Amino acid sequence: MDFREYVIGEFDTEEQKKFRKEVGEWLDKNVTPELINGTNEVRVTAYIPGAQAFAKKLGEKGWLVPEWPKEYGGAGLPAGSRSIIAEEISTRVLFGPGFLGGLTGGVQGPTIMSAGTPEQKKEWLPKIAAGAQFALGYTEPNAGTDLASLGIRGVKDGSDYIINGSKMFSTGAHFARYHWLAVRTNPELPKHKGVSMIIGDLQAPGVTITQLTTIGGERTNEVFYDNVRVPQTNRIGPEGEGWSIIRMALTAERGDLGTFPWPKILVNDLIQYAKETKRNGKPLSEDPLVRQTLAQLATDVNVLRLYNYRVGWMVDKGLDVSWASSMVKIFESELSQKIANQGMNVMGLYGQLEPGSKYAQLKGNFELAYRAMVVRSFGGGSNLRLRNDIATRGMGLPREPALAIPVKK
Amino acid sequence: MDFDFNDEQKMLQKGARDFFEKECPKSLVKKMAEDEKGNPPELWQKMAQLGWLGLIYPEQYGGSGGNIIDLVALEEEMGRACLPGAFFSTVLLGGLFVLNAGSEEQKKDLLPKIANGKVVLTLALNELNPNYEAAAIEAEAKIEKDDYVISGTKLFVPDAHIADYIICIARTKKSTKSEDGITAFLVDRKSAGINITVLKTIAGDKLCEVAFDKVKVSKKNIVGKLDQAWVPLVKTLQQVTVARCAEMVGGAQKALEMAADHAKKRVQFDRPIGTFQAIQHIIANAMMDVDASRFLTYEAAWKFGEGLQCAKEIAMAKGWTSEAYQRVTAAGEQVLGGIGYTTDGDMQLYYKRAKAAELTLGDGRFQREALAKELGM
Amino acid sequence: MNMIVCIKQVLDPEAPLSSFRIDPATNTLVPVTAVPFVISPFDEQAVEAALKIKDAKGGKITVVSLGTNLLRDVVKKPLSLGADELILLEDPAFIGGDSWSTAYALAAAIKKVGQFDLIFCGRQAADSDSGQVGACIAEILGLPQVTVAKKIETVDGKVKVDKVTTDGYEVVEVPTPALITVSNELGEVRFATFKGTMASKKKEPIIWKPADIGVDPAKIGAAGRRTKTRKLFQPVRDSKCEIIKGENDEDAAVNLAKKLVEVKLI
Repeated sequence: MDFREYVIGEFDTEEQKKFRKEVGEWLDKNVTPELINGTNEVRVTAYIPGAQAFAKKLGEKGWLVPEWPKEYGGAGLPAGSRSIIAEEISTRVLFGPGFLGGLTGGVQGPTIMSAGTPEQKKEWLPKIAAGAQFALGYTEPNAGTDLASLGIRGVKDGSDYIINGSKMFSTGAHFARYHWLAVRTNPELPKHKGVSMIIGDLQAPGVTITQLTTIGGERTNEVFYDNVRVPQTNRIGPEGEGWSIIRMALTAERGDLGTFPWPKILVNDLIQYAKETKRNGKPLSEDPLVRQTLAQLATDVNVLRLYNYRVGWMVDKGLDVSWASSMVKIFESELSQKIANQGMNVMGLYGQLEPGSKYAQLKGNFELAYRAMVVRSFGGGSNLRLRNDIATRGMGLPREPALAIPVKK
Repeated sequence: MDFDFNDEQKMLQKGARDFFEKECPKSLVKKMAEDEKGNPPELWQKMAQLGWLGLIYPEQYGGSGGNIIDLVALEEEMGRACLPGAFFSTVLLGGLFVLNAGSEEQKKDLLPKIANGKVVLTLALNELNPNYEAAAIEAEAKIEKDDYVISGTKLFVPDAHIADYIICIARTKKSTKSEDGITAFLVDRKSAGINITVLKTIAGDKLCEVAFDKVKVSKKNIVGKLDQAWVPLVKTLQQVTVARCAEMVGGAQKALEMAADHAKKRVQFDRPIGTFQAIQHIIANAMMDVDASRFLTYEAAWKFGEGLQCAKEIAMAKGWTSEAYQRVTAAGEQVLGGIGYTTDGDMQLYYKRAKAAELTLGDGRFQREALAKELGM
Repeated sequence: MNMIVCIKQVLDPEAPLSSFRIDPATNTLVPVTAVPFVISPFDEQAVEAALKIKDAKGGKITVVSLGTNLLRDVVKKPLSLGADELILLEDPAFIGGDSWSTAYALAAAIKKVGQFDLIFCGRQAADSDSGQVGACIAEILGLPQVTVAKKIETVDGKVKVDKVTTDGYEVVEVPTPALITVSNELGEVRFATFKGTMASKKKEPIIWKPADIGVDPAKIGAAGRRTKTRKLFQPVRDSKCEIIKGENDEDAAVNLAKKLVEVKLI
């Protein structure tokens, strides 16, 4: 048993020490104050001003995908290099991994590396390495948690697919170039088997992008495909095997889970705030209920940290982490909302003030989090469904049987 | 980070699980709840022979030289088995206090006797205002020539009625700081002026009222130094709290397994009830509770064992585990329904123990307040 | 007394049937949920038998185990109980065998250990239940063997064994060196003391590969099988229930008796 906290760089070999120094020096020159300030507010990395330009610069050095071979646009660096870059970014700007994966092909890259043909790897990997941006195209109006019931159609025509249908909540589709589309190519097969993964071009004729605005203040999109032609060579993996590609991509998405820094930062800020802010003539931190609330939140942050480390420990041991990752995801998303909720309560009436408002406390981050963290309970998997998975996969409970007579949509 | 026990600790756990399955069946547990004494003698001797009563004491005091993680591994199995009896009072509360506070002579005298199963010991701390704080210690010990005379009422003293010795925490000096002037006395239970009443508890453990009416104790029987018992007492309570958390983790794990097993087997509406989402969610939440309890406890134990600052971690561990064990067993009762409600079943043993464990050594509220202080609030 | 005990790591035989499924391609049991590993219970009795003799007469106990993925906290248990040495035949080449090819490898390892007076084996493994490895080892090494032992004592250089029979037991005397397979009638296996458990930390297992024990690769593991498992299956128990009726209880009893005669049960 060992709970010693990892000290950044403590296991570095001589080579790694040199590389870390090189990365640090480059970052010190290239991380802008705008970038640092931009991460002071609770936001998806992609929307931080200057983030996309920064990612492009990283891409030019091959550092978005440093461990990929140079022929694919990577830097051909040894294993561990990506971690070093992510760590060094994180010491200067919040949430380093967000820059390496959240913006660009952090999901698509490894998937194409595993499942793509040699030609596809030659075509797409260098683009990803240079910072080409993908929007996810999974969810539809009628296919959310039940993703397998997606209906967007891809029909073969010559050497193309003709795509008709729509995708919902496709975040980033308004600035990304490519669409990571899960498409139904074989409607005659059972629903899990008739899906293919196709890379769409969001600038192609027939594609319409409509803005949706979330309460978190961010833009997401509905994307309509009206007889859009996509070359069949854009299909990753065999036709009808899209479901296993989706699973690969979801596993890749899980990789940086748990490095979400906001719960710890917000709780620490709140504790400091309570010490410095007086109500009814004395500091909030002397109010017994405030003390109880903040101590519980501090404990919860530590629990999240330990759940997260446990996943890393299981990965090192080669164990299946699906349910353990789900635990992290559930706890983090619910804790984030709890922190926002209780933080606003601690602030009282001030809690409702938005970032930028006069008298907003702690930059209005708690009010913003109260709105922005809502999505984390269902984005990346509904917590309700994930709890089912934890019980069935982690504890062997039997799965819920399908309805004898399914309801037609 | 490594969340696992080492090979030897795993062997200890497996051996302990097999041992308790054989030597501490639930029938014995239930019997002991009704039994007047509550410390099954054969089981006590067998644990002594395996070196478990002296596990945490150094070899020079007749112990087995184990560390706190070894103790955590064993305590999980004790919790799983609902082990009744004097391990908590004798080995942990009393014994660890002697180890932390006692003179060389006292350690060489008492600890081997505990390790060999020859002596039952307890520590009387709480009084009518039982809040684990120095200010609540009002029992007085007044010097009269070479003896101290102790008067006061102690409550919730585990196993006092069968103990050979009771370590009584009393005030010997009034001071501006309430932690100063507290002394520990090793008192023979059979001393004149001691009156013991066994209380009826939810968990069936034997907690006692011990009334001291001008009880004479030789000043030679001060455990450690005059007026300076509080510091070693705090250290002792840290270790005891970690051990208690581990016991709770073991019990919570078993309660979770029982609920999950029932959900897999029980059929209603032509399907195992574990296929209903509500039950799956109850189990998932219980799994998260048990895992968090476990990791917080392990981290606290590890830090204590490394000699690092661990007051925060211990507060988090006990605070969380107190409420988590209660949640898990309450959820277990919900899942089991009627058969969890009768005394034939075993879930009720964990349900009752969980509540008592929550209240003992500081509940969630107490621990959060302690943590708030540690966080500088 | 120099004693050798052969132990096998198996999936916990107490695990419910629902924890496993049968892989028809390899005719093996595959766990579906996490099933813990244990030492096969009769092998634990074999260890206990050796320990009883060591308690009485002194001696050295060498434990040998063949397999892969041998968990140290499982196979080191005999060391925590008082065994002196642990040898692991841990290599993929050793596994997938039948009783004969497994016994061949174990026998080669035993030869390398050197002088021994007694070999103890469990009477049968809790997973395969063939009960032949012990006998095969004795055959290969040219040793007398006594199977299904419930008590073993050494008396004046000879070994006296109480051997379980269907209606009681037989007392057998056998010279050393000999091989004995042990049954659960031997009694309870002791529990490890804490000190014994901690002491096992210092006894690192010795690992032998095929080259170390000079075996013919064609005779070990899957390559050396002389038997072939045709099919591994769970027998389906089908029960049909016919209710015997009658105007009253006596009448029904008569009808039942008639039915039993008809199907030639009575």
